[in-house]
Formats: sequence, C-alpha cells, structure tokens
Amino acid sequence: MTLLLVNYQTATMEFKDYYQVLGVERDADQLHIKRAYRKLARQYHPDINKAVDTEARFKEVGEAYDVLKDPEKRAAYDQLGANWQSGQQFNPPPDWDAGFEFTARGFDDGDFNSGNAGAHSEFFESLFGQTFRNKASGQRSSNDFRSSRRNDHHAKIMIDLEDSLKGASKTIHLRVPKLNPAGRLQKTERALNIKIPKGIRAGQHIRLSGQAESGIAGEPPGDLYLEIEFIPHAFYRVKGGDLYYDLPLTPWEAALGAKINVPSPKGEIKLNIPAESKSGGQLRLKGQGIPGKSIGDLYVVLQIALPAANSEKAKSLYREMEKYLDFNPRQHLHV
Amino acid sequence: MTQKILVGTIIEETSITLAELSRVCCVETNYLIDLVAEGILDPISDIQQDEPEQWLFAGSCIKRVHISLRLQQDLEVNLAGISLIIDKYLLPY
Repeated sequence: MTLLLVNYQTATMEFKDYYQVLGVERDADQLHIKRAYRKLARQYHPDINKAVDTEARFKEVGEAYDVLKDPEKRAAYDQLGANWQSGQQFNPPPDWDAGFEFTARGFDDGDFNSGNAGAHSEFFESLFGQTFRNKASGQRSSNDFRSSRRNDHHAKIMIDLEDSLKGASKTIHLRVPKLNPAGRLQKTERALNIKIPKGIRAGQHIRLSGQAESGIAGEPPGDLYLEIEFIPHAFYRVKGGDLYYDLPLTPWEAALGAKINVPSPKGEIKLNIPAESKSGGQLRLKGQGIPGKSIGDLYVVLQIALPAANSEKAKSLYREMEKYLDFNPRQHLHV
Repeated sequence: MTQKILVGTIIEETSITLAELSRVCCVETNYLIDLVAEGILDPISDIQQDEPEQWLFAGSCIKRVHISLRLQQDLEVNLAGISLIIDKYLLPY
C-alpha cells in the first residue's frame, strides 16, 4: 500500500524550467507572469477541471508561479542560470543561494491546503524548502490555537476500491518529516495498522485520535487525519458512492435482448439486457454501489461492439443486413 | 510483530463543531465564520440562536472548506466568487 505524505515526493530530481512551464520569456515582467499563471491555473485547476491528468500539470504551474512571482526566489532561481535544461538531472550547488537575504513572508505551514502548494517537487524543495524555511523561521507569531493544531498530522492514503466495498485492515507506511539535532529535515518511516471502514468514500477523512507523532518532545500527540483516495480500478469508475463500468454488447444482444453474466461488487450476477438497447444507455442496479449510510448504485453503461468484417462469411452477413434492413442512423441530420 | 489495529472515525459521517472543523481543515475559526456569513457553509444548527461555538456542521462541509481555500489561494477568487462557483458548478447541497 502506498501512502503519500502531503509534502513529499520521491521522483528523481530533474531541473525544472519554470519559465518554460508558464510559457513566458526569461525577462517577463510580473504582469505577464501573473497573467500566464492565471490562464493556466483556470485551465488546469483540479476543482474546476475534472479531467484526470490536470492535477500534476496544475501543481507544476503553481510551483513555477510560486517562484517567479516572488522577486527573492526568482532572483535566486535565475542565479542558477539558464545553463540548465528542463529535465536534466539536477543537484543544487551548495552555495547557490549565497548572498541573498530572505524575508519571512510566504512560508506558512498551512500551505498544504492549497492545490498548488502541498506537493511541490523535490526540485522545489531542494531549492526553497529547507533553506528558505530556515532563513524565514522564527518570526511567525504563535498562539494557542496554532500550536494546538500543529500537533495534528494530515496524510493521504491510497486504497483499493475493494477495501471500501468489503472493509479491510491495512498496514500503512507514513513518512514523517522530522528535524534532526543538526536542524536538517529527515524523513522517518513508521508503520500503522488501521481499519478501513466499509463504505468509506474518496475524499473522506479517517480521524485517529492521538496518533500523530509529536515532533516536539513533551508535547501531547495530536490526531492523525487520513484522507482517502482510491487507486484507479481496472474497470469501475467511482462517483461519490456510485460505481460505473462499460459493458460491451454484441449487436444481436442489444437488438434482441439477452440475459448475460456481468460483474458486480458482490460477485457475478445475471443481468437482463432489454431488447432495442442503445449504445450509451445505462442500466441502474439500485443499492449495488459502495455500501454505507447512503448506499450507492451501480450503473452499467451499454456499449455496442461491432464484429470485425474479417472473413467472407462476416462480410456477406453485413451485406445481407445492408440489403434487408431499412436503417438510416443519420436521419436526424436530414441526410 | 503483531500490532494493534487502529480504528478511526469517518469525520464526514459525523456532525462536527466549529472548533473541530477548524482543526480538521487547519484554518482559523474566523475564516469559517466568514464562510458561513457568505452562505458557503450552512451549519445544521440554528445560527440565529446559537453562538458560533455551539454551531454544528455536517461532515460534508470539510470538502467545501477545502475547495474554498484552494480557489482562494490558487486563483485569488474572493468569497462571493467562491460561493457562486461552488453553488453553480461544483457542489449542490
């Protein structure tokens, strides 16, 4: 089971050309940078655009803007020079940020709520993570409210849809960032056995009281919040508590009706396909979706598959249909 | 090594107080009160009679808070704009 702790990724580190990401020139002014970011952000924002692959792109755009909008970070980034190519293996030179003075603004631990922060690349972390944070720390005001919630930890876990359908016990591995005595950030790993409640949905949170490891000695442990995400299923698509999958039918099954065996979360079932079924039609199986307080439904989306005309026999059957069936699928187009 | 199996609660399936919602979402309670004032969040308790400390929210409000934060931070949409986007396009109550 994989677990993504919100702030870390383990991809190999490649140089990122933030100017290229935003599609702006290296000497672009703030107005152009902001404009380019806003356009791309609206285009790829995961809350607005539901397409699957927008999130990674959006994070990249957010990360680029995070650096280029801030004159200090931009100047430091520019110092790295244009010698690096996007995608090139990268290690920051040890004194790459020497000679810069950094102010405290712009580094709030609450960042991970944002769609653009939250999962900065290792490249970004290596440049602006520790170094900037260390230099920027110490000036943040703290009161009881902030310090009490700082002990809570949040993480996202990926589970199989089956874990929710049946309920399960899982061992998860959490990578916890901790400061070592030298003040450097280290990732330690710990394993937890947790119960996945039957019927949990993507986006929901499990609260484990007192299970957040306190980073500071002597402080009481906070709560651990686990956000659930499903590993994409081989054929089920999940919308809230409802499940969808595509069911290919032969033309004769769709036209004449049929009783066929189909999968369902509770196992194989016999499904009655009504005669004259159309491609794209949906059959709803009430209460066969994700269980829970509000039990979901299962939608079987019909798709008519055509047999290939790859033999003389098949070809002659198609020719016979052409000859005997009075069929114009383009009637509504008036042709 | 056998380890105890931890059993948690699904927050979305319980009703939660203003303080709990602020903790789960890592935001100040004042921010949540602003969301209520804008109509982005609807407490399930009587907001006329009760003090904010007594408000109760459906767990599904967590998603609304997260979307509000993201739209605000990523696109600098103000609360009125967020309310419009959420109601029109994203999450009908």
